[in-house]
Amino acid sequence: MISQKISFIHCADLHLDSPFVGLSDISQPLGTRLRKATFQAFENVVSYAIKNRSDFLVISGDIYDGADRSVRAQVFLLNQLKRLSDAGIPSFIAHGNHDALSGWEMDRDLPPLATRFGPEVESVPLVLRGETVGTVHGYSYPVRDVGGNIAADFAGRRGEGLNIAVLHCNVGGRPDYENYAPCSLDDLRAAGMDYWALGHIHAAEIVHYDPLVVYPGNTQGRSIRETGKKGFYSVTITPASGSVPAAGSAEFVPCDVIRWRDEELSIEGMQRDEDLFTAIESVKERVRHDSAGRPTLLRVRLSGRGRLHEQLGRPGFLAGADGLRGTFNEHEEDRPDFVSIERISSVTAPPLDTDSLMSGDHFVADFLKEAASFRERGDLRSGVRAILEEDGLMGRLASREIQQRLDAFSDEQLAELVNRGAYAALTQLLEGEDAS
Amino acid sequence: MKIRDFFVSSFGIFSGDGASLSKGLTVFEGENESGKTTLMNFFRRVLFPRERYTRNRGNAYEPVKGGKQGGHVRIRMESGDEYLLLLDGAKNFISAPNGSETAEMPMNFLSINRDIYESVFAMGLPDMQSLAPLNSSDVAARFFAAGAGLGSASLPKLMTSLEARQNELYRPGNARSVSAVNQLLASLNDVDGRIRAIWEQNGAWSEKKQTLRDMERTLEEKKAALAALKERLGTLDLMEKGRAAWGALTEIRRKLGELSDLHPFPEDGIARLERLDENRQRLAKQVARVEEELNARESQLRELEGDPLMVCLESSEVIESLEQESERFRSSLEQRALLEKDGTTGERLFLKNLSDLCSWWTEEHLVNADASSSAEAYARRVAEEKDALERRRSEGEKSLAQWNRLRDDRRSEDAQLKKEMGSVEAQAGRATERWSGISSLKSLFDDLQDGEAKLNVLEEDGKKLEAEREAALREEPAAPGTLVGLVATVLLAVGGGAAYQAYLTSDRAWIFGAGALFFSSILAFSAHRDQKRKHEAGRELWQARVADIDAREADRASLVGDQSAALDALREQGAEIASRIGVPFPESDEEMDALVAEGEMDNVAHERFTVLGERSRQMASVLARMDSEGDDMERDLAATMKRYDSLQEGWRQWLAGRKYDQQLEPRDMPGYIARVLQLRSERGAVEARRRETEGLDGYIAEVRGRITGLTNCFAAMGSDVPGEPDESTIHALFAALRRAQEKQGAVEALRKEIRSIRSLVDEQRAEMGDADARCEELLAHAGANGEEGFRSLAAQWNERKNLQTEEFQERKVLLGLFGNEEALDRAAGELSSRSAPEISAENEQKRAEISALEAETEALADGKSRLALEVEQISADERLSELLFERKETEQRLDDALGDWLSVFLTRHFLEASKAKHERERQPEVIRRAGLYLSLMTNDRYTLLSEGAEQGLSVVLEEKDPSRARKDELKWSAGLGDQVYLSMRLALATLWGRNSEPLPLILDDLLVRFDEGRQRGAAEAIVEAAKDNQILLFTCQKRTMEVFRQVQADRGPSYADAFSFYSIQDGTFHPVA
Repeated sequence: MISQKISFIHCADLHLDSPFVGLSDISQPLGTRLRKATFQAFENVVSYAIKNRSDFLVISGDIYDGADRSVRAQVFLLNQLKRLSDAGIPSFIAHGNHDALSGWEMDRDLPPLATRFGPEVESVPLVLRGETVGTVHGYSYPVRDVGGNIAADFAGRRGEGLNIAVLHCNVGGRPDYENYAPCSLDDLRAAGMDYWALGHIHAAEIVHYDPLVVYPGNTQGRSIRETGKKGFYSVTITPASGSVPAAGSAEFVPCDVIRWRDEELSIEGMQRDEDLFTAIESVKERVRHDSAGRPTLLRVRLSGRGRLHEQLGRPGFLAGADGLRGTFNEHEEDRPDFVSIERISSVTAPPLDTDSLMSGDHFVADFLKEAASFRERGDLRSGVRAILEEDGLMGRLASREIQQRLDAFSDEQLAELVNRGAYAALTQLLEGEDAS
Repeated sequence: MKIRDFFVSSFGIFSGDGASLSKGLTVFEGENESGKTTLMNFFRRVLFPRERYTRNRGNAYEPVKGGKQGGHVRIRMESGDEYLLLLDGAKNFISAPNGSETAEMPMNFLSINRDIYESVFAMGLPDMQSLAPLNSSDVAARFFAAGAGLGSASLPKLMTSLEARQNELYRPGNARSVSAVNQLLASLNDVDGRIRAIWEQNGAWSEKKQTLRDMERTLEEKKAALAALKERLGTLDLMEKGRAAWGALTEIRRKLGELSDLHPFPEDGIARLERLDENRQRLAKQVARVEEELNARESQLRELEGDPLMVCLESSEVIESLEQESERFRSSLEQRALLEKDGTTGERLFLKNLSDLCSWWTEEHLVNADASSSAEAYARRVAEEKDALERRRSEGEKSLAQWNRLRDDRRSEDAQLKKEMGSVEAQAGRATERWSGISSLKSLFDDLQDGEAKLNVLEEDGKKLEAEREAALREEPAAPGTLVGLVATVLLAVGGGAAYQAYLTSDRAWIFGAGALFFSSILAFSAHRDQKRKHEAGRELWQARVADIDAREADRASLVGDQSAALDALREQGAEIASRIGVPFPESDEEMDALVAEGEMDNVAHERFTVLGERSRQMASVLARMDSEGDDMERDLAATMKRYDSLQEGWRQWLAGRKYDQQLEPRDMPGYIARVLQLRSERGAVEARRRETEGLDGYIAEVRGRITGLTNCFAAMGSDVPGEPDESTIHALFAALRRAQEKQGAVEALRKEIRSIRSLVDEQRAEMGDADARCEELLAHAGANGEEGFRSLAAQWNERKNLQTEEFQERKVLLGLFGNEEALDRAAGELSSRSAPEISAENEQKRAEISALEAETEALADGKSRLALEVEQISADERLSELLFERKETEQRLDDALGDWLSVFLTRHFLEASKAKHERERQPEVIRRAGLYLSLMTNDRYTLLSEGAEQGLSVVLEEKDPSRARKDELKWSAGLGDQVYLSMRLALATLWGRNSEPLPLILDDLLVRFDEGRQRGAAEAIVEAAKDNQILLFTCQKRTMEVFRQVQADRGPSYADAFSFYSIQDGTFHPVA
């Protein structure tokens, strides 16, 4: 049994060949780049492992985005695993909810040094340079919905040397993610592993240091909800020896090809269109500087109360070919460090003292109170359904898809929609009114 | 805001009049063309600056009497601040109440624009004839949207546009609509269809991949079989090709067997033997050549050692030191020559400069002259003082001359003044006395005029009183008649008869009849007494009234008497003054004005005399002061001249004491001292050159002595010792020494070389002996007695080696054909055992088999390539990726559209809910308020409701009777319409004041179409509105004013100060009590 340091790569949630979410009206060249992004990000992971002579690589689930994974994605994965194998680097793969074993797969023959975990917790010896240095334990989702505590099945499996567990799960019931294979940190610690290579959560996080419990996040952000650096962890561990416990460290390495940024910009104090143009340009250049040459998709969220609110609400001012977004993106994609504005959203308000208006004794006040009452009532989704039913529209919605989509709006989004509509109506109701 | 008072200095027909306004209602009454509308526009104009670049609309109200428009309005804001708003021509100003801090009035001072003000607050009947002006965007925005919070002003329009937008986005239940959501759903279905098609294609991928793998395996097998066949065929070809080489190899191996037993022969024996011979011959030649060279070197040495120049080596130290000093020696010679030349020139120049400085000075004078800084400072002081005195003298002389000229001018002017005073003195004395009389006359004349005016007023009052008395006499109450008394008496008598009859008959009818008659008699009697009492009271009042008129007439008559007496006294006093100054007492204004003008002309002469007198006194004072100052100036000039002479004398004495030239001026002294110092420096330089020349002469003599001591060297060089040796002599000596030293070096080198050559000859002779010994040893090693035997053995060994080379070559050829030893051995076996025809037959057979197998393989490879391409295409297919992106993109657009739809839908829902609530729970406040006013105007007959029409404010009337019948605007009569329109304005103006500064309402002849009843109702409403807003009402009907007065009276004393009334006549305002 060797006692020297072992280095390996831990990545997860590759979501190969999955589309980016939230984009519309994107150019052909940008579309092509985006479609390649998930592939290039994983290629960067493999290249890093080969270049840095990592001892092995672990993928903790969600290699593909869905059960209906594309042939292209599967071929790509096999090619990358072969690259690792050719370089003498073993790889260990667990499947998650998005790419459960039940999904269609064209070819289950993996390259020689690649190991895929089955639908029961498996323990595979970790052999490096002809010597067994420990054990890698892992579990692949047989189907999409795995509701049991799988982490508990890893208990009692610890072997000699280094012990690494690979699992796609939700530790601590994080609310923004589906609660698959739910477990607690105590469950993980109880299993006695040296390293928990987790997947499912798309934000990188070292959940615990002793033992290391790590979510590497996804390798490429695909929506505005996945902003910032995306990558993998390069882990170095000295296996336990005698009474000396294992010790390790994990370094995050970005590998994303295109980065998402979400920037808020207040229109307060802006008097003219030019002020807004200048501010957006400034944000854009700051983002470009921060990204240090990496292409970026930028969402600009305009907020605040100001004179430009009415202008922003005009059709075609923000979106559209001649809109603000189109203007800022013109020639941008020709640059290697492009910052493409994927959307300029507006949650601005007119420069009115709505509280004062609402306290009045008139129609506008009644209207604002009506909207505010709906907003403050909470559970806006139910509220919307109730109104639709009250107006007899619920049963007339074109398809179940429409209903599902309407149900998918969060309360926060619905509150924004209510505000947007109310401010637009208010602007028309107060047309000609002194803004002050 | 309230207008406290105003003053129109010039605007239309108004000129210089104003009035104070009530805080509530002020009514202006005036006939048509009296200026009511002009006044309204004056207020409009003062309250709102004229906007730039706007043309005048209609009448500009230019002042009738000419000039520019002007006036002011004093206002008080709700905050208590007061301002004065000024109109000055085209400009408006605002200032503090006392008129200070005036500034141009801002356009938005009242936070409302002129149009809104004129639509709501200040209007005439034509402006009020519909609700339309209230629906202009500005007014609507102000009042209906926020100001009054009506909201419904643009609600229908907003609802319509929202509905259109909602349907554009999505129409639930209408699958055929071309809404954005339906289009996006169709796009999604289309994308999904294409995705499914690709999935089907991808599903066949595994099968194709497996087929491809099978084909690859079969192909590999066939390729292996083909390779084996081709290998055998190759071997057969090679055997045919290698058969000749195999025969040659067999023969070579036989010959080598014959030469297997030979005596050992040293390696390269022949070559070594020949090299040893060659070496021995070469060494012999070298020894001979070196000995010859040794002889030549010894002869050269002897020749060098005999050269005479070698004697210079004995004086080498002296010559080398001279050579080192040669540069100094040369420069010393040159410097000596230069010093000799410069010394002569410098001395001559110095003496000339000394003579130029002072012709009689010697070098001793130069050395002893005082050139100190104190001497120079003294000279400077004297020079400055001298300059100042000269300047002062010159300026004094010039000033005195100018002063004298000026004094002469003033004397001439004084004479002229005195002459003119003499000419106006008499006229001025007369004017003083006369002007006093004219002034007194003017005062008396004015008092007399005022007195006569008052007398006329009293006379006028007398006529009015007389008329009033006559009217009162005509109104004497008539005495009451006796008819009612007689009726009472008759009734009493009849009642008595009826009572007697009742007594007789006891009939109830008579009893009731008698009672009724008695009761009627009592009533008639009471009426008679009441009539009499009223007559007496009325007569008492009438008598008091007549007595009052008589008393006022008596007072007036007394005042007339007093006034007439006072006038007579004034006339007498005037006549006396007129006779005193010799003019008639003026009878009219014109005569008085002429008299005043005449007096004023006399006053001009008086004023002139007074001015001339004053100027003459001033001139005398000036002349006295000038004489005194002229004397002072002359004294000052003489003192300056004296100081100048004293300074000159002192300077001469100072020059003499220091042996300087007497002609020197103090201002030249600093320059002179500088030249003295320079000449002293030149003299020092001459002395230094003399000392340097002496030093150089000593050094040159010493060097020349050392050169002439080297006589043997000059002899070796073949020349004589020179008379005055210079640096060239030294160089020649040094060159001879260098040549001697070079020859000495050559001698030493030759000696060393000769020693080396002798040693080389010895070494070469030893080497020759060594070579002979090695040759003998080589022959012995080959077992040969001499060189011949040695060479024969060498030839045998050479043949054996050649055969071995041939064997290697043949074997190499065969290995080249068969590849390796094993294959060669197998081929050799076959070549030994099989004949050539047998091998050829097998060759043909294998070729046929290969051809058939190649055709099969090619067909299989072709099919595999096609299938591989197909599989590759599927694996590289990006269409699914593109479609998934497209689907997400479409989903996003669908979400956006649904979001927009939801936003619009919810907004409509909230608007509808608010509207329903509004309509259900309360009428818009402005309409409610207007309803109240309308109720006052119509005696509570109608109520006002919002109609919520498409555009802006629209109302409908509802009868307050049980029928609740509604009347829309088209059914209103003109009067009813005016009532509604007025109600709306009053309501809007009142509510405006809730959120902003309340503004005055100006209503111009709005009640003209109302009958008396409606006027009364309108007056009630206006008085009610005047509680919140100041109202200025203009009317052309006295009757209207009376209506308001009646309303005021009905509302009691608390309204006494809330109203004021004016009549406008010919552009002036008259309060109406």
